[in-house]
Amino acid sequence: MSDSRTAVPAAVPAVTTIRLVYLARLREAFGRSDEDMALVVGTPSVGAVLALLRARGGVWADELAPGRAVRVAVNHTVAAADAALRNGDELALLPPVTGG
Amino acid sequence: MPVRVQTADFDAGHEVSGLRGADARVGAVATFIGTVRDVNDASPVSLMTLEHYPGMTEKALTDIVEEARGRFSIIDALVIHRVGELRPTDQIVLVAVTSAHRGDAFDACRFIMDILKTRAPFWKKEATPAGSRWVDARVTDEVAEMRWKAETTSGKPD
Repeated sequence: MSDSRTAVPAAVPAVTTIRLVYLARLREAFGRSDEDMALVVGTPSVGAVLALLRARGGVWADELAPGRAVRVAVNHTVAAADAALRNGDELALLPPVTGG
Repeated sequence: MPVRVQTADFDAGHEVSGLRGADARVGAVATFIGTVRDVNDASPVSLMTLEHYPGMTEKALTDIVEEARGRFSIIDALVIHRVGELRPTDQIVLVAVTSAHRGDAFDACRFIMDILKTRAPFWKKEATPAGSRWVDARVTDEVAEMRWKAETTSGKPD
């Protein structure tokens, strides 16, 4: 007597959908202000998203090259590269700020 | 402890009156007003467009004021930052702080401004005769923020 549930693959990759927001100089460089991104890796992180964006090449690789002064905010709070992302998170890329 | 992001101009006298209210504990009010210069990095500037990240900006400003409250003995604080198109001589930002004595008012006002410069998500774009350009962050702003970090760590045992 087998359980029909065992037919379901054990590791269905969970999809995490996040919203990316590009501000100021980065918005102009990328030619868009925001986009949604679906991530299928196990535990997506800020660093993983940056790597995916850099892999687009061209202006993405240039603007987000390691060492460039781009800060990341997750849900309006500055986050480090190892910060984990959850479904519905808003990840913003911020050039150095120049207010005041 | 209000923070406001707005396109409209502000009247510093009116804002300070509102901040002081009828609070007789207040013995000192320090204010800072930032304005648009007509020259930046050796180029004449005719128009400046300030943009921000709605949602994060208000949170960042609120966090900065909270941090000032933790560091200094202040009674209240107000931050108003304008966004949109601004021209030379226009007001950009107002920071006002009330306290019992001048030292805390001066220090907290400067602290809020210094940290705002490096953490609040605002960006300036200038129109110059050579075209428009995003303003670069200044090393001197980082140095000003570092000064406060040094004051935090000095005097603490390792």
